[in-house]
Amino acid sequence: MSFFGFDNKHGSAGDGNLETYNFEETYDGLGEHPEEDEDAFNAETFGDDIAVGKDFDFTGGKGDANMPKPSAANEQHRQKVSYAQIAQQSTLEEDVLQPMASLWGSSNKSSEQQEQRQEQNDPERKVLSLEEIETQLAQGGGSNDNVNANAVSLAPQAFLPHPPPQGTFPNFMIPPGLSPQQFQQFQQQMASAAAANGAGHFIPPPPFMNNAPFPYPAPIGMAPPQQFPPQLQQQQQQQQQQQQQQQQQHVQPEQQQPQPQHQQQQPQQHQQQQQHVSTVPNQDQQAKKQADLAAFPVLGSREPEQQHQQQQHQPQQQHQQSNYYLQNKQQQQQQFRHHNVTNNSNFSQQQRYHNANNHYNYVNPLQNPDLTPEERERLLKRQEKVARITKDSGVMNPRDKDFVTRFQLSQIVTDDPYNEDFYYQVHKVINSQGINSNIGGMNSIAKNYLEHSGHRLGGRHKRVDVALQRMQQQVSRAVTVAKERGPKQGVLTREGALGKVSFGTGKQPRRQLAIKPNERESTPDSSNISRSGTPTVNEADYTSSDIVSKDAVSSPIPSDIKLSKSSRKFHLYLIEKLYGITLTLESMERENLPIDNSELWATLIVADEENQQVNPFVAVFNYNKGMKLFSRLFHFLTYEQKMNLITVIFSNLQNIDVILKGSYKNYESSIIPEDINKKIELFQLTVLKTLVLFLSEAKFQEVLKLLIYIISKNNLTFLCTTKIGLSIITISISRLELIKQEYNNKLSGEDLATWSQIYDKLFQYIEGRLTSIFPPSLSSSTSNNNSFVESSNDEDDSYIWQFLASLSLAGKLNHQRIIVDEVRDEIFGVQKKAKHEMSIGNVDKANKYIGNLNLFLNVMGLKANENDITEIK
Amino acid sequence: MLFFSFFKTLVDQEIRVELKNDIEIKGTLKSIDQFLNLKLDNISTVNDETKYPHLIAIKSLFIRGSTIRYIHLNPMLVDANLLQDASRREALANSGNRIGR
Amino acid sequence: MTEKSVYEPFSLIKLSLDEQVYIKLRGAREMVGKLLGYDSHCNMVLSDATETIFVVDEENSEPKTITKKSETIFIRGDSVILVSNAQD
Repeated sequence: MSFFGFDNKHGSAGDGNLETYNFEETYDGLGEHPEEDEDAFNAETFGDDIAVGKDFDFTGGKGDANMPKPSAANEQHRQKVSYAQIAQQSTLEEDVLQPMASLWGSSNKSSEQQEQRQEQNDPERKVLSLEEIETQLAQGGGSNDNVNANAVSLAPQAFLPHPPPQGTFPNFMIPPGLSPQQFQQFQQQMASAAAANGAGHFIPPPPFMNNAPFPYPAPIGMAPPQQFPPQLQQQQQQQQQQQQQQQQQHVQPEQQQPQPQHQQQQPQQHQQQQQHVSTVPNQDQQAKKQADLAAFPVLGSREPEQQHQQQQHQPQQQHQQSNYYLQNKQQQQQQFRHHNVTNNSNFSQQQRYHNANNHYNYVNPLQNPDLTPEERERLLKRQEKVARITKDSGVMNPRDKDFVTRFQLSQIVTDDPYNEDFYYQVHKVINSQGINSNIGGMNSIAKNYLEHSGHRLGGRHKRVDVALQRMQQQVSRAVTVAKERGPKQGVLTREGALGKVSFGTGKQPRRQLAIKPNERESTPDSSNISRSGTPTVNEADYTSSDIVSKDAVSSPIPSDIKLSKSSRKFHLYLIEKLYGITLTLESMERENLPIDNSELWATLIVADEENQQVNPFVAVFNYNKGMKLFSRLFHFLTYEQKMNLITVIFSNLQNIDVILKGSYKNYESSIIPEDINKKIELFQLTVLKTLVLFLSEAKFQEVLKLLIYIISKNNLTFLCTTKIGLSIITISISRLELIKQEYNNKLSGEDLATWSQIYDKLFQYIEGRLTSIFPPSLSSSTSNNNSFVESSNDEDDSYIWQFLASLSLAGKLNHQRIIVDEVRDEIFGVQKKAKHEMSIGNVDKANKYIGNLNLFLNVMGLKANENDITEIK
Repeated sequence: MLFFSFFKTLVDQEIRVELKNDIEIKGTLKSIDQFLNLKLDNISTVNDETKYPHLIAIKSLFIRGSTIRYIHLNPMLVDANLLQDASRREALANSGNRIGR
Repeated sequence: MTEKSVYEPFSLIKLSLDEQVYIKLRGAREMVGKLLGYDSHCNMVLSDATETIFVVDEENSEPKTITKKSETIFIRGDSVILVSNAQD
């Protein structure tokens, strides 16, 4: 739609699409060097409480589609109604603050058109010189369109946060002797004067106009009113904003009172005030300002407009915006502010100046001659403090604050703390012993937020409660918003001609490296082709029999990857896969969802019997993380599956790393390396603990079956030289013996016969080799008096005595006799060691030795101390 | 978000930050955000103070996350297993997301 | 889900969790240690880490190395060049 006969791809005003108007093209870079001090209309234009910067949102946060079309009604306004009405009209239409909206969208479409033309450097238009404009302006409101074009080009310029570069509005020449800023100010002054005039209140040009050092003809003020509604609308919106602000926070209470009177002052009053300024102490900046302004003598030209404006507003407000009208006080304050910023955009400064000024003129207690110096001092201090506090107040209105808070909260709020804040949440639970059971509760989030945002939670109690309550509301709202937004998209990546562009979000900051997921899986024919880039594994391990391919049913291995089942990478892969499944199951359990462990069981490949090699699952224990995983994974198996799994483990005991490498016989020095010892320790803490727990519940036949597996599938002699092997046998035997003693009558004779048969077999294996279960480092029998001192490390030999104890417990008297015979030297050796420790004062160590020894001796009704062995009475 | 979550547990603990320009700063972690920007209190420079005299007078500071090379932590305050689990969870979630769960 | 995951480069890092890893870093640095955690930015936490810095002295042009040990260390991902399993 080419509404005005030019290409509207930049977003024409005609279709109301404001958003696409590319402001950046024209003004990009200007925001880098804001010179807002000089921009006298800044506050008026954008509102005092809107952060101005490079990224200022010219649509007031609403942007597209919401712009009112220049309707017939507006046209009418343009013709008949005053600009104030127009301003009000659009304010009513727009309930959301849109500081710049009116500027571009709602006022006058022909001006928009002109604006656009100028932007596009329409050759016809841009040659207008200043003189031409002036001439046109001087012609008065007769030829509206023409004049509008130029006058409006004044107005938007005045609303720019920063002085535009000269080239942007080529039809303007900056008069000699004026800086661009000054020129702009002058334009603004002109504009306001024109606005006032056009509405019927002709104000004679201030006298200095004629004396002005630059050639501005006085009739410039004759421009028709329609050109300036944007400005007024600005004011309206600003006022509304002010009201909101006022309702919630009373920022400048003192200032309001003198205000009405102040407004009634004559134009000269303003100049007077300006003079006061320079007399006010502590305002050297003001003085500087004053100097600037003196060089540019249009002071006071705002004053009539102020009054006029007020008069204009009143009647309309009565029927159009009554509540606004009722808030007369605020309005007046707004007027006041408005007035202020005419001369100085540095609002805080201005405030201070007016503070002082008002006091001087009307209520300033400092001027009271009765004041003592102390009181004066105190008041001064107070005023300074107030000025400091109110300096930045009102920079954001409550809506802004709400927006920012909600935005910040949406970054930290999550309704899924276990997924998005897993470490923190779990860590907190672990370390606070569940004091805060309400994980991720709104309350704690709100409280945290307040703490982190520097809110004084320790302050006045009432305030804290209110703040906390408010924050909780915010949090719940943020959660709702986050939920409505649907599932998160993660980091977006877009592929352009020059490469990938990735965007970060609050939850996932932009990555330096955005890796595209591999889509090879989607190609249908992927079975037997080994692609480049496939992780290759130890070629040595690579035999055709144990290569896993996709064709293997229910294989957990991805199709393309050919990993040897004995390769390290495969084991690591298996462990990580098991972790993934376990973590998923754990979170399902936490959420009380039905648990399906079929994937877990399939991945364990316990049933993979045809494989003659070491069962891959057993290799999981070669890795620390595999051991740590075991108990968590075990938890999700059914009893039957657990039994199956343990059978596999017990059949493969000697292939488990900690047993395979855990025998002193593997090493020439007979000393097990430190890293293996650490692994053994970890195995005890993780896997063995789980097994013990399970076996302590297991039935007699089951344990018996497991023991048979141990004996038949492993090299028992070797197993007995390892700590873990010995411990597992100990556990089995003692469990069997415990059940036998407790439920003797419930066990079938057959079972008992099998048990004694198995025991005999076991005993047969280890008879005559019992001394070999003592690693040389622990053995006391071979050592002479000197050597055991050096070999006596802190190793714990209790597992050996426990084994002997359970062995003798299960055995008959003749078994016990054989055992004692075989380990007699060790017994005496321990006594000797204990005695030695006693003699050097290590009572604890001595007691420990004796205690461990007694584990065994007590079974046979004996008791030892460091000197002799006695019978227990 | 993993390490944001992780560092939140280290708030009010002492850490040692090594920056990419080789300055090392020790201090109490006061605040952290998702970009791993840090706020440190009671700071002291670990390396030669005369080398960075401008830091002597500073008590607390903000460090932009991207300038950090390493952060040295107290092993007692790190739950290794939990951190590994959290890494796995995050990896799972990421790959899940990418597939379009 | 996991079928695919092994293709992704990060899954190779995942396999190294709780294992010794070798990391090459910007500024002629290397680090070896046990991987406790990582994220998609290549941020990592290592335990019992040994850092090796390669320094070339301009005067005698004799390359030398500095080693530093750290019990637990967080490495910001943007200085990571490569991550590898230390035992591979």
